[in-house]
Amino acid sequence: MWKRVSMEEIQQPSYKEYTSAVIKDLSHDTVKIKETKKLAGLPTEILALRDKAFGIEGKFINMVKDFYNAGFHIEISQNSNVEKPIVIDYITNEQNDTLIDYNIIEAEANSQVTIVFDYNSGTKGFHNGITQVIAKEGSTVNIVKIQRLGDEFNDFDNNLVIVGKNAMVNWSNVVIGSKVSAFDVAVYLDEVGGTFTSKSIFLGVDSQKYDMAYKVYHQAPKTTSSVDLKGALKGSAKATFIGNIDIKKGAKKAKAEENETVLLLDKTVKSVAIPALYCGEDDVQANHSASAGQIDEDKLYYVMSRGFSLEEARLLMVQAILNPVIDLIPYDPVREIIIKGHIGRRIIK
Amino acid sequence: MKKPDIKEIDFSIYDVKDNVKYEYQTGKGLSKEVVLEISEQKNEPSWMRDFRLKALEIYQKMPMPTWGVDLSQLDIDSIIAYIRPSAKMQRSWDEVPEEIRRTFERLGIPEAERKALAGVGAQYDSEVVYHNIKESLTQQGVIFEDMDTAIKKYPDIIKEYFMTKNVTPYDHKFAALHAAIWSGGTFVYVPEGVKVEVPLQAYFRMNAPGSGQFEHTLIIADKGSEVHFIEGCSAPQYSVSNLHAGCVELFVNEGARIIYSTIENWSKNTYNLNTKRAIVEKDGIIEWISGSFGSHKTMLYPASILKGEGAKAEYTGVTFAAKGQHLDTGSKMIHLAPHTSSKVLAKSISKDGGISSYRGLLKIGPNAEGAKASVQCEGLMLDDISRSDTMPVIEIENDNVDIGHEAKVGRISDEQIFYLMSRGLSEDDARAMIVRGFVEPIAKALPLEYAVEMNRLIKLELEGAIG
Repeated sequence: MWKRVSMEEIQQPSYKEYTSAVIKDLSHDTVKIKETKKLAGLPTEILALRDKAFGIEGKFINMVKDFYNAGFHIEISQNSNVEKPIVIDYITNEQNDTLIDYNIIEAEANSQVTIVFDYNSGTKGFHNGITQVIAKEGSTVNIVKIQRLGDEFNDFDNNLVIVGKNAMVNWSNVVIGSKVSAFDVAVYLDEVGGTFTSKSIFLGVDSQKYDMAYKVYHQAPKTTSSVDLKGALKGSAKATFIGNIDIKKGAKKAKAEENETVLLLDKTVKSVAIPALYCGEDDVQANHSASAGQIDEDKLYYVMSRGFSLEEARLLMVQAILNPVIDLIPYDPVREIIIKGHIGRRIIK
Repeated sequence: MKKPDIKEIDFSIYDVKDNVKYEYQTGKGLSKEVVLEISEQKNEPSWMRDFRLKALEIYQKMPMPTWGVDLSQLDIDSIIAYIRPSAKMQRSWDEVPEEIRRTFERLGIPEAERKALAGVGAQYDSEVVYHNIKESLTQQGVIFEDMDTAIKKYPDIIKEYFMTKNVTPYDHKFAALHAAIWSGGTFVYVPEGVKVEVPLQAYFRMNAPGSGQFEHTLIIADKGSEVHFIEGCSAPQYSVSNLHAGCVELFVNEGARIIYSTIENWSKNTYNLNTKRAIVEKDGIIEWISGSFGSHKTMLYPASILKGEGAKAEYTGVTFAAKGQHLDTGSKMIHLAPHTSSKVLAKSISKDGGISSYRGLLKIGPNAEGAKASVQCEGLMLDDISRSDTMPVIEIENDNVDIGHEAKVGRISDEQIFYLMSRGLSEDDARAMIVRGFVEPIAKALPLEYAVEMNRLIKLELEGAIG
């Protein structure tokens, strides 16, 4: 856990029930949704993933596997196009302050689906979850994960994504809540023509600590990945970004791209980026870039000359970076009022 | 399309083993007795002996690094820590014993000295056998001495600077090892305002099988001075492991500038675990130029500590990893003061199963307001059995900074070849041109005479192409 956010002092809470998950749009007839804890056992396809490494740390994975108190198993039938997004609303409150969710998504061949996870409300609590996504041949799966938990939350999110032949997984993390928040997305491009894209944002203020990792394994020819993370840090916030692109031998014609942009809004912020690129195959195109800096003074000056205050001008600049990703969220009420409003309030304080 | 056959570096001139008589050598391995023996053989002052013993204790307590290259095959207990040829340090090549002189002549050192260098030190196994500097520089107060002489001639300076404020034995296991059994190396002092226009050179040669070389280089550039130091290394190929764990400490004072160039060509049985660090004061400049071609395994990350306002650092490096090599190189840029800037350009080529890694750290401290830094890494893979890895770490603790990092890995694209061929080049010529273009920034960074020397040294041969 070198250079990463320290998670040593975080206490794992004792087991508690959690009952306040709400899942919307159950009306699709090509979608089967069950609570994970009501399954007779884990699906064989999930059990077969035992050797795929993923997650923040072993202890978080084990905790979910042994003690999950929430989560859904979602199956999308073959050739079905689920037009409306499926929204899983993980609400937290005083009674339900310990959320340990285990989500399994299986998209059958040539299906299409969008699933939104919204971790929200509450002020104080603990979240640790696993989400495993299997996108089978030719399917398209869009996942949006919004983390807007209260300021006294500890949040951990472990994700495993298996991309099948010519399948596509589009991923988006929106991280604006919690005191300590760590997520890890491990992506296995195991079959020809698989694609993974990620467009994600974060905003860290006060003493928020974020630890964000994407690990993309290219194990088959003609696989493509693109990871784009943009964020802003204010106050004494700290963010660590780990982006591993690992191209295994044999992944010919693989294309990988990775980008991180961080806006630094205060002298007291801390930003660590470790964009590593491992390459065991020569016939590839791989590149990554990372940049960090302040808002360009000339731009600020221009906006202020049009009558905006310094803070408003700064907000505009932050919005210019974050909004293109927020606009991808297919979930209007959350997008417009809550997320954008939240960002506005956090920048102008 | 046919793959280019880029031959490895021609080792024949480096691979000649000499039949040199050794006057003295310690037993294999490392112990208090060995350390005391070295100190006694060198007739050192007691403070240095105590320092060595202290370092040995630290070494024994420290764990082996668990990251980087695989060191499990390195058996320090089978390495001869100190081996002295029967040759006294000389100021004239004529007085250097025939066998040793011939080796250095084959490597072109005396010739380069006549043509292009202001001073040369030549180390053979554990001891320096030749050390000389141009008269005119001595008159300006420039000190260029082998380390053993320097300890006796300038004890106060050495005692103050030797592994105390820059690299220390506490830094890592191999720094401690070096401190315990170091031998040979060079001390350079450039007085205030003196600009040494022609480079100084040190050449390190390991000849004995199963031995280690632990030379120490200490350069102090006083206010407003300038110096270019070139370091070359080679050894013949043996079946047993050799170990090189040198240490370079540079002090760049206010407004001074040090250019430190290394052309490393150790034989492929050598573990090269070197430590290099520069402390740069106000408006000082450090430039590292690094070519890593040889060795079995290398871990080398020259560090620049930008301590004074406006200090600058540059690192330009090429790493060529061929069959059986794992070269883990990179740079550390540590910005501690306002308006400091750093620039890293790292290029790597890997072929025939070689592994080249870039491992770097860019750190911007809370006081480094207005710091600027850029890191650029490029990996060229010549076949699909090699590896190229990039692991940069960027840590920022300040908002007023401008940081950029870029890396890419790939092979020579068919489009590039096609374009050049459409301009009338043969396929081989086109490939040769692209590879030459790729290493160009390094060749350009060296002084002309030395670039010629380097070209000879690294002779990248492309099948029927490079003329």
